[in-house]
Amino acid sequence: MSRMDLREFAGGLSLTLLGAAFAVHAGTNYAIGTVTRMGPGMVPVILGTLLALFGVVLVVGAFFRAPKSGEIRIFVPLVILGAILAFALLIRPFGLFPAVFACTVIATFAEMTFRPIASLILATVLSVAAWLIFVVALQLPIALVNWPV
Amino acid sequence: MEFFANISLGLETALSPVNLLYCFFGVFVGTLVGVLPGLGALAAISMLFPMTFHLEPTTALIMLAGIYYGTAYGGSTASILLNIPGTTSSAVTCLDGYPMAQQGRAGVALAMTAVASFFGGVFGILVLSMFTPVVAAWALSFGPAEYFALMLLGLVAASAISDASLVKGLAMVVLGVLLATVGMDPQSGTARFTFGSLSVLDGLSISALAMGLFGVAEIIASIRNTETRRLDPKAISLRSLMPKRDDFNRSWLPMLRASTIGSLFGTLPGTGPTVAAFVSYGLEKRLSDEPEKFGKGAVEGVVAPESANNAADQTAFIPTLSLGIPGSATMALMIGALMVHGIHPGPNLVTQQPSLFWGLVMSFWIGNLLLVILNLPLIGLWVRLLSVPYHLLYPAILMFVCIGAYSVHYSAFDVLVVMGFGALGYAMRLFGMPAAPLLLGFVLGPLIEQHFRRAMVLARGDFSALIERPIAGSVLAVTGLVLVWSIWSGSKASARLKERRLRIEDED
Repeated sequence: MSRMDLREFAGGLSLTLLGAAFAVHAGTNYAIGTVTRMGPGMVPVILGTLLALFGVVLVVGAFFRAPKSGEIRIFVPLVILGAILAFALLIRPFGLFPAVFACTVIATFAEMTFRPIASLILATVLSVAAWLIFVVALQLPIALVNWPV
Repeated sequence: MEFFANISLGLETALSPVNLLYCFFGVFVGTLVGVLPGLGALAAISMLFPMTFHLEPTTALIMLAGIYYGTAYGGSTASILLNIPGTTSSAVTCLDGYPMAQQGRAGVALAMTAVASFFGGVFGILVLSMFTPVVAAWALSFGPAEYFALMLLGLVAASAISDASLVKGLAMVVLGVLLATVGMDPQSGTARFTFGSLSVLDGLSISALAMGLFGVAEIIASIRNTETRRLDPKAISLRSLMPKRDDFNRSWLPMLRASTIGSLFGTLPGTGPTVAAFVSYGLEKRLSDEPEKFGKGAVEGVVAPESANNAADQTAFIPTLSLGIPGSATMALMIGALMVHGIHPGPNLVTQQPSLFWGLVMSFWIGNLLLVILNLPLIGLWVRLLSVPYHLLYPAILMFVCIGAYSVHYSAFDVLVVMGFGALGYAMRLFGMPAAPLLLGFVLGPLIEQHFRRAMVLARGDFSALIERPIAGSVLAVTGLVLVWSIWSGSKASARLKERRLRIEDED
């Protein structure tokens, strides 16, 4: 078992499940039609099946290849995605300054070195830069500071 | 006479103040991105993609194209000074550019690179302006069957030549086409995979997909991995930039050969500037009287790949603008920018939108000229930028991504889509699955589905009728050959790997 490539196995399995999900959902919910007059479900069913098949090829191949080493990051992607999430949640109700500020401060945690003053300065600089570029120069109608009513 | 009329129309368009400004902005950002390691052309174009929603289509394309060929100029700077390629297409330039820098000839290398890039770019533009109308005129007779076959060839070639395995490349193309089916089906009006949400009825946005896959995933992978090296900007003074007469004498033939190679590879689907640079380097080494000098600071080894990749950058627009079929992920984004404005590139583009086509071509001339001006005297500025630490850079990139995604429809949902694609992009990196074929599949997906369905209606559901059409049939045959070839070469490569591994185990 130690010789098989678990990462490849997981990748192939995800593709298989994803392809199957697309195909089954399209097959049960949308009209398939005939080859001459294809319905909206035909192409997704074909493609979903193909994707699942490619996944199976990868899964089978994983048993015959040695595992590849390589870093798997968990903390960094969570922080970066969290920073984007914070921006998405704050931009409507609170406005541009709080959204950019929060996004930047959260993003700096991905470095894993805690530098509170540097990150606050960076967040301030980027907030001002965002205002200058997008609101002053490009004149996008984005509220700077909002308060949800 | 018509040719001159087109040229003057193009110049008029390209020289209008707005277009000139965005052309400059594009090549400036392109050089910047090319110089900064850890930020590629695709990421930069996807980050600025939302801006194009607010611009005229011609202006938008001029700006995006400027970023695209600007990165090729800037990428070589990082290659020569730091031995880190700023972009993949300038990776070969490291081989001889960095040794030249170590010998104190960094200025000469940079100057010759600018000359070679300009030469390659100009060569590519000439090929582009001569061949696009010809190809477009020929393609006017194409029906849905031919388009389906050509798009299939483009997708298969792109996944066969990507550096991952063929199965993974094809799987990503299929996933891209599947993601493109999300939203309203144009033929039946059925909402597919929307799960009752109105936000995705128009489909997933290409800008969100590109920013997530290339911008966010790239940040996640680069944090704490991108080294910044200190470099003394004073080490490169303008005086040391002057190449000797000998450098020119040795360079003009390689530049000519490399530009020809680059122009050819640029038009082919799936190959593009990186392959062109590698091939031309190999050719020059083989043709040289002193092949032992290569890798130790030969000026030919710098000018050849740089001419090739710049020529390829330009000619990549031939299939994109004449057929509407992008050969690379970057070109797919160009098509995406046009489609946002309701323009579907195809054989009619050159005749129906002459100011767009010729304006773009003429802007290439201006852009290349601007790049030479930007790169030579301002080299000190770019060198200083090389030492911007990544921990200051990535929050700024993230800010651009977030605001850019939000500004398209002023919807927070779009930002969440970027987050989703960022997660997908990082997962794909973990599993070694290439992102470029996915983007190509996503852009070509709706077209390939429509052409396929239409072709099958015309053929009365008989697939063999597709193969019997001469052009469609031969393109499908070529597609089959590409598939067989890449399976064969893939199995040969893995056999070689296995053999090597066995030998290593024996030695243990």
